[in-house]
Amino acid sequence: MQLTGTEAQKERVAGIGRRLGLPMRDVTPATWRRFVAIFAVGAFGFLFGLLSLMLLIDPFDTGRSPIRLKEGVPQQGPRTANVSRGRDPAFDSAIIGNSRVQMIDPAVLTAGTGIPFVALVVQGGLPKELLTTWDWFMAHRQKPPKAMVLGIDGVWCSDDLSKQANPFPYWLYSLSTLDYLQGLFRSSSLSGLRNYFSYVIGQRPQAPRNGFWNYESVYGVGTPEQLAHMRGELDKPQGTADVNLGTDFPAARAIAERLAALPADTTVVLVRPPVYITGMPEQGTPAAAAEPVCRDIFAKLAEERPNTHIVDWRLDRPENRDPGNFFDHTHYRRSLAERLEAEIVAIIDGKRAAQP
Amino acid sequence: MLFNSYAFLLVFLPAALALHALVERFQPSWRLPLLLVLSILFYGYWDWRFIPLIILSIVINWAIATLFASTRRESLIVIAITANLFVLALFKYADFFAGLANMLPGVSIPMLSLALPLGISFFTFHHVMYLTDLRAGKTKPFDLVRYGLYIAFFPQVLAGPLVRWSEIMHQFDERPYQRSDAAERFARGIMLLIVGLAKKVLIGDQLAVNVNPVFAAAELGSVTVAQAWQGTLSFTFQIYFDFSGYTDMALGIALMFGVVLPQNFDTPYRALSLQDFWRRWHMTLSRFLRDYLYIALGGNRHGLALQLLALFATMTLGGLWHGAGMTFVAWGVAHGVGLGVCVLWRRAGLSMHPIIGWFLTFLFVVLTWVLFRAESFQGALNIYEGLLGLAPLGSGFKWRAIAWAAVFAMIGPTAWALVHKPQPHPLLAVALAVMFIVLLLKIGDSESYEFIYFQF
Repeated sequence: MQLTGTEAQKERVAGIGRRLGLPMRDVTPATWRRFVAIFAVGAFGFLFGLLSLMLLIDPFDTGRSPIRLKEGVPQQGPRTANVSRGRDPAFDSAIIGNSRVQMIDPAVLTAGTGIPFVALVVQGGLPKELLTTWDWFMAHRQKPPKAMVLGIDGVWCSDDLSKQANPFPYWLYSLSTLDYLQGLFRSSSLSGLRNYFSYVIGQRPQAPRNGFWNYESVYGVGTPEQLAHMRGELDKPQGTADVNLGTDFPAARAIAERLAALPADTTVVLVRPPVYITGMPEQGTPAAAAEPVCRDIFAKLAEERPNTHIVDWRLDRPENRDPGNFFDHTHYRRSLAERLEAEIVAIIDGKRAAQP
Repeated sequence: MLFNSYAFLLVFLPAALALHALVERFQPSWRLPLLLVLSILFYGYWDWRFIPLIILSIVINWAIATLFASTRRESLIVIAITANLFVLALFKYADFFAGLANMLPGVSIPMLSLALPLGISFFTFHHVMYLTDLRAGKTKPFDLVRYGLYIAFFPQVLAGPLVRWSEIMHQFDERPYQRSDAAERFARGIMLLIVGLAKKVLIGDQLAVNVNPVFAAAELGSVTVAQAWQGTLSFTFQIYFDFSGYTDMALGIALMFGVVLPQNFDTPYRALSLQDFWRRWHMTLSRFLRDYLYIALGGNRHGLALQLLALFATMTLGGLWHGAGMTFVAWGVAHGVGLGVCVLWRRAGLSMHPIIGWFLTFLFVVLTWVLFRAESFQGALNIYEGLLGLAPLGSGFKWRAIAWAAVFAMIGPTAWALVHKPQPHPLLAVALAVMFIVLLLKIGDSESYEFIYFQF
């Protein structure tokens, strides 16, 4: 065969052959045809074999396989683990949000209301990811949920619903098999497969079924010096990055659409999580002007649907001025989470009227 | 359609190969129309609205070439080339020149903000090469299908290589799968495709992770010495593996359809002089610039001063061709000046030790890539300050990917040399199959970076 090339290239190739002194096999067109056939069969065989194995094993427990080797999934990040949790029939109600509602313990809500709650929390999650999680949970319910708790923090006020801070595996949450297959075909799926096999044989622990993760274990109380540093940081105003001074609140619209699809007897609690006082917009800033506008949007949304309540702790209240309740401006301790839990339970039990 | 996409590798290419094989076997007269239709589909996959543009571009240029053949009116060719360059300028440079003009007091030209049709720089140059040669009597008119295929043949339409009509037209008339070496060509085409994909995915894209944050940071402020060198060296190898990987894939895909495209890279980072570098880097562009611009501007036939001027103008325009921005112009200017210095050095009869020659050439190329990659002069300046040690030292220099890339780029072998030698052993076929699937898995893993040369 002759390929084009410079004389220097041709000479170099010839030189390589001479130096290596490779024995020439008896090469015929048939041997090349066989070579191509082996490649084609090998590549497509490997491709379909791998995809078939991953579809059959279903390492992320998406429910697409007729077989199940073991309930649940191995310990992993919530973005992938929530796929299994979201379709777990043991739960019929959910807490959905980012790390600002991570501290709300679903077991406490379950104990207080008698309704089995799962936490589908995506740390660093923005509305697009959380709405996807909501849709996945709803798509896998035999009956409508009894209650839904949704964490509405500052990011829900943005005018851009497409914003993305961290990678999110939308393909795992897709109801389209083609999207799923395309997404599944990545080397991280192989890691998922390996982890799942380790889990099946008992070498990896199971991811918590109800999704609760107490981040006090990460922050810890720390040494007095660390505590002093933490409090020093809390005293610094945080500022607000995303200020929507317009009139378009697409995330609120998206929630309204989803709430409209729920039966009236499903209780919905929209939680505006606590923020340490220096994390609130400073008076006189555009962020401060935007704050009540966004609050009113969600308040109106709650007014318009029966059985929809707002738990608003994003206010200047004594608890939000106590540095002992916070790790940083937006991450609060269990002490405050317990107050929130009590309020949510009271609402679901009908013991507390909707706040204005 | 990207070569490194599932849509291309798992759907378009297998389907196109199967159709092509069937037609070649049972209805050979349909082969070229089929390839043309496939090429238009491939081109339009990205954005179907560009399909009329490429079809019009082909039909109008073909019609003018046909008319010229019967009338021999040279003005037709001049008008056609001018029109081609005007279309290129409209889409690619209108806003650039408007921006320059708006810097003058009292001038306010509105921006057009036209979407840049993919590959327009490449197919415009194909038209120019053909029309120029037609005018010079070096070629003849071809039928519409052959001409269309010369312009739009999908392995090369988006990012080259820049193919001369004389390199490809005769191949269209062959029965490629009737050749005695057809299966070998096909097999080596597969090898080139996989090696090119590996260069892009395993090396180029990995380096992009080292590059993008550094140049983004440089646009916002200063970067450390470690960051500047990491970003610059990484980009030096990223652009090589990205573009040469694309070319290898293009060559491999074309070979699977029985067409041999010209080489485009020959271990450029082993160059011992700047002239040598341009003989090894984007070789088909270099020879285009030489034959259709440098020589047309006088070349080396009218004295040293004109030669230097022609060289300078050629490289400056070459820089502008790469992108509608002053940083690209500055990159071209730097290479024009560099090549001019090389000419003067040779004319003076001076010599240089090859190792020093290699070092200076490599350093020059590395430093000028900063202008090529930076989005503004301020961004480039911030990188240069880091490179020259005028910034904090920093830490965390990610050297591993750079070191591997340097070894592959400088020691080689080239993909062409690599795939030329292997014998058709079954184990090699299995290994390639596994490699192919591993590469597909890697593509799925990360965001699939577009090929750098797509924007030019």
